[in-house]
Amino acid sequence: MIDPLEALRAQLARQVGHWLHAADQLTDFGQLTSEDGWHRLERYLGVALRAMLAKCVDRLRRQGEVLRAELAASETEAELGRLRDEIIEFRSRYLHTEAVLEFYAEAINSRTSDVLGAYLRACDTLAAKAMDVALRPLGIARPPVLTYVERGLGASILKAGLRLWDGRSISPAAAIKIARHNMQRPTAALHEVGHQVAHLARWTDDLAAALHEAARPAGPEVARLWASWASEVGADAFAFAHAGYAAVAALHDVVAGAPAHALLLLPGDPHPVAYLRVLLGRAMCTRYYGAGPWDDLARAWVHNYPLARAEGGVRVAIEASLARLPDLVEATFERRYAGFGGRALRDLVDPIRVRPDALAELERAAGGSLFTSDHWVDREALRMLAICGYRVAVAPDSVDETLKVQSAWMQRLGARTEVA
Amino acid sequence: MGTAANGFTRSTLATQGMATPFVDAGMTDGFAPAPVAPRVPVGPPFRVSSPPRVASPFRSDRELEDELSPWNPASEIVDETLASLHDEVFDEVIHDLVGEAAAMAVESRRGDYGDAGRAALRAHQVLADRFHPLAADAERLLGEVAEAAKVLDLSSASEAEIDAALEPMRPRVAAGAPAFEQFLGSLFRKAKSLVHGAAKIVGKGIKAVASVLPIGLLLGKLASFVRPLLSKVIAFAVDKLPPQYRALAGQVAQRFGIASKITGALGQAAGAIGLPATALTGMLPTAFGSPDAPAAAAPVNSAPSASTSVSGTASAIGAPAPDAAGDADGADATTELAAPDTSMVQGEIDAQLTELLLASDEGEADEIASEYIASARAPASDPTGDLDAARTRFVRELESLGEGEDATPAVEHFLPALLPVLRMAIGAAGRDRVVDFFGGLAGQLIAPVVGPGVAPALGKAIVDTGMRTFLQAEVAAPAELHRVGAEAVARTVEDAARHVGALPAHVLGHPALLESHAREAFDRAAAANLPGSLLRPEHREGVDRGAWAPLPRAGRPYYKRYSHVFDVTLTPALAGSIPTFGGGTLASFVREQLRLTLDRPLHARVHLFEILPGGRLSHVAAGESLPALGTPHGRRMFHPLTPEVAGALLHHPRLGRRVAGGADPLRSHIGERVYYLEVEGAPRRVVDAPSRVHVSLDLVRDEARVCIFLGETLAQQIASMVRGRARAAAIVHELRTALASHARSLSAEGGHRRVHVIGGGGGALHHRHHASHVSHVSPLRRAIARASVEWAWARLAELFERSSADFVHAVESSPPGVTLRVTFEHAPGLAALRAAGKGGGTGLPVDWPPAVTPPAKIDVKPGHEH
Repeated sequence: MIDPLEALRAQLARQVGHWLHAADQLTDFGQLTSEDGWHRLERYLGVALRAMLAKCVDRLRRQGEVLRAELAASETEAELGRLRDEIIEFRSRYLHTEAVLEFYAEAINSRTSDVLGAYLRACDTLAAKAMDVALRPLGIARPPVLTYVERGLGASILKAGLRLWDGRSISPAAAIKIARHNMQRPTAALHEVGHQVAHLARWTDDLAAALHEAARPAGPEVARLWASWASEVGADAFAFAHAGYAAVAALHDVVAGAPAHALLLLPGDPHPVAYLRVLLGRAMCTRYYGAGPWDDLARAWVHNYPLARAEGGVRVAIEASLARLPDLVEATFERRYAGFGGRALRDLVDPIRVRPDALAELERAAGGSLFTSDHWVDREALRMLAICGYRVAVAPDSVDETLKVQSAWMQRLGARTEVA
Repeated sequence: MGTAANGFTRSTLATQGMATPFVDAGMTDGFAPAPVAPRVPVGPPFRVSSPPRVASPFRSDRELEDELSPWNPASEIVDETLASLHDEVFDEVIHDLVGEAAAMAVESRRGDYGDAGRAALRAHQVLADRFHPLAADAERLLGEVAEAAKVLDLSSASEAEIDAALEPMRPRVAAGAPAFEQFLGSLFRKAKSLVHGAAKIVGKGIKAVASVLPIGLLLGKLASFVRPLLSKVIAFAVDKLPPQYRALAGQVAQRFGIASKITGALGQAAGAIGLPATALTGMLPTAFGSPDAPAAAAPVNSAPSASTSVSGTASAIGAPAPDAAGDADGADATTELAAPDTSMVQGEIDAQLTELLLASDEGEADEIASEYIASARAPASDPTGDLDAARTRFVRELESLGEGEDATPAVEHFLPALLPVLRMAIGAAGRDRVVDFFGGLAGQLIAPVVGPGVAPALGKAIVDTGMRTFLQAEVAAPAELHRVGAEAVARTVEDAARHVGALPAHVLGHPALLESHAREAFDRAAAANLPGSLLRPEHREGVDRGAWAPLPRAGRPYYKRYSHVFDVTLTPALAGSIPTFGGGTLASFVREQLRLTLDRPLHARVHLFEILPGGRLSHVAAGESLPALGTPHGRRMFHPLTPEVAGALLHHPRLGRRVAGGADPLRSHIGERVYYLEVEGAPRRVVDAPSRVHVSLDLVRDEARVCIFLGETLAQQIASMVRGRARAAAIVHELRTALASHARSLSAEGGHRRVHVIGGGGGALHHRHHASHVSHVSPLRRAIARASVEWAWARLAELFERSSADFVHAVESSPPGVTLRVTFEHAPGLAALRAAGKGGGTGLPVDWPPAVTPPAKIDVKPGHEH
């Protein structure tokens, strides 16, 4: 039987060895991510991600080396006790680092084929273009975009510039999840891009104040609610400004679930009640486009989701909000914001460019080349997305055909992007 | 100020008029210059006699031309056939194929530090394996074309019928597709041209051509050329000079009485593809002279392309272009091709196909084809291998110099290796004197920057000058720093020697003039190789802390990169005034290829590069990781950096380099500088082909053709106007405005590449050769070409007024872009040009320009058609 102190030391030494080895294993990205996946990323994005992940793992390994040195230096029971605490701390760091790696590995691995890889690169490009429109006039550098596919109903974003799970690494790219069912209608990615832009331009607080003011006639509680929904209202507005009615119709199709959900207000939820979100989108269309198919959508919406089914307080809030929708739209798009350099959202991204008649004019100008020419794909990809989304919204009988066209030009867009 | 054991100090040098361009920085303190005085040649000056000019009587009518040169229909068939076979896109495709193969070769050698010979063999094998499927696809394609062509009756088939029969075989090639796919597309066009060529000959019913061989057989021969052709591509890719097809088929040529024309011109074309002078002596007929012969009597610097296009003043590797060599004013122009000219591939194939079309029977055709196939089996030469080895030795000798030791012997050991690639405008004896003189001068001038105490400091200065990002990984140890310093000094000497070697005879023969030019060359070379901080301010060419570093560090360097990246604001006016390759401007590049709007100033970063011996733009594109680079196809992202552009864009005119005859992206010159524009918001992808304007003055068919290729962006913009029912005047205004710089460039430096003359005065081959001696289009050709373009706008306005359906249809079809070919039969001015070609007058008709726009035929085709 060995000395208890030695026995304690031996147990700790094994654990140190184990975790250091595990940390070393993380350096081999190939164990987590297929090389094919990496090669389906845009080159600069690949470089940025590899650099961040390598730095993240390197930091963990350096911490591990400190652990190894402390093991060598620990002699007393107290020192070994401190070492044990540090091993526990290191395990936690390891798991956080692993979480970072796994998040990106899964995102990259979602590019399971060349076709999907090209499609997602097209989504990256669309998101990047949407950001450029807003950020370039503001002199704000645009981060890379990494879109990935996952199950579920809605999209989401891990914004670039945020601290990651390991507490040290910074997210190097806007990682946008696109729900598999919505892959062919990726206007939701524009909503997520809106979050990133708002974050970089520090827009949300000012927007919250503006919404609060616009909703105040409906009562302080309603005003407070709208202020709390500012981040999502801003993102919806951004998607609308870029994609017009297509964004509203796509949002409708995502939130058109059971009435209980459409009329549900969850405390602390940054999303407006779905019932109001859809009608706010319709109000945006009305404000900038006048009458149109969105009116039918709204009629059907209120028919399908009668307010009577809403919980009492929620119904009151919704009813009080309805009259405020035009003012809320006005505040969102037309007010000048400090974060936008004294400009309004409309000055940065003008929804008139995707008004149905403007889209028709683009179709006329480009003729048969619209979806086949690299010129138009490069120059008008965002409006092409708006056109396809509009067609899907107003001509549901031709959805398959429209989405085939969209898939083809997005393949073309993605295939032209240089890969890692 | 240090004093060396020999008593010389820098001030001694200065009083002798030997001031070096280096500042008296602490780095050089304690090191005296070499004690050797320059050994100035004292021999008699050389005289170069020019051939006497004989004025011809001024008569410009066709009858006079016939008197001067009896009409030979077969000769005109040769001209016409070569012209119709030539496809400028083919040259680009071969260039890109070479670039892609070179990148594969580099990749195959990565991490291989073993025997260089074996590595090269392995690279060759890797390429052969990679090209095998391409060869099989190409042969299959040509087999299919042959099957489709067999059903045609060439004696009666119209152009449209031939097109309709073959078009289904056209491979679908996407824009920006890899060079392999582009090659198949080009090969298809070549096959189609061959069928058209055969039909034309059959249609003409020329006595001497009893019958054209069956088209299936001819296409079969073309298929048999595929593998030899690809062998040559591989040779280019591994920095070898492929063996050339030379004068051949004497029977055919003699039968038509055009032997001297074919053999001479093809031989010259072969000589212009980059063969060093020593190789030339051994391989070319004596008629081409020896390296010792005066340049004026040795026309080796003919156009590098055996094509109907005039291929610039590009010269053989190491040989200065005649206009530069004969003119001291052109001495600051870069004159030497950096790498063998890949356009020889098309020149050879076209010549072969022409001969095959004229062959009288299958046996003759077999003989012609087998000679070409055999030529590809001959071993490729290595034009710069010896020089590379000598440079390496030179660097080692510089590294091993002791404290205060004279560098002159090292320089003198190195210079002989340069001689084969220099084509000095003096004889052997005079050359030795120049070398002797230059060795002594260079030895002294580099004294302050060689030696164990100084060279590492120089290396460190180079590395510190903002280059750590791309040199630090490989350079850290003092020995490595020493090597970096020695390499920079060696390149300084080499550049200066090249410059001196290109000086005209009257300078080389005059000691004082030679010394002055040599010192100027040395100052210039030092500025191009050493950090600005080490040079006296008046010698610096760029920013103080700027320096050039050869890249890649591992293996053979093909280019240099400038350490400083310039931030510029590109206003619409500035962008519109800066010319780029092919006749466009930066504004058209931004609009059409980057697809950005220039309605506001754009922020951009400008990265500078210089081509080294052996280098092509595709090497720079493949070696850099900037957006849209990283592959050889990124070559379209570069623009020529002339002194004017460097002044306007960077405010450092000395950073620019002038290229004799105008810069050509497919034929880079040693020391040529280019820049890459990193524009905010630009797409990260390879850009499409730019718009172009070419004019063919076809004296055989007596017609002028204006060929306008609208790149995809411009084509779509015009189509949008058409769909919007814009007035014809507005459409033509848009076209004229967008292509204004292209039209202007027809008469600017390099414009000769965009104005082709076919036939007349000795045939197309003659013109190719002849035109290689001029970098500008002659006033006559210029006037006719520019008038033709103006006529074209007028006729296009009528087209857009009448019906634009064909145009819109072509825009909406694949491949991208649209070609508008406007043909003026019996165009005014051609008779005068024909007469000028026969030695007649060079003036325009008195009633020029004609008051009435000549009638035209307009063809609209999708893609880039020649």
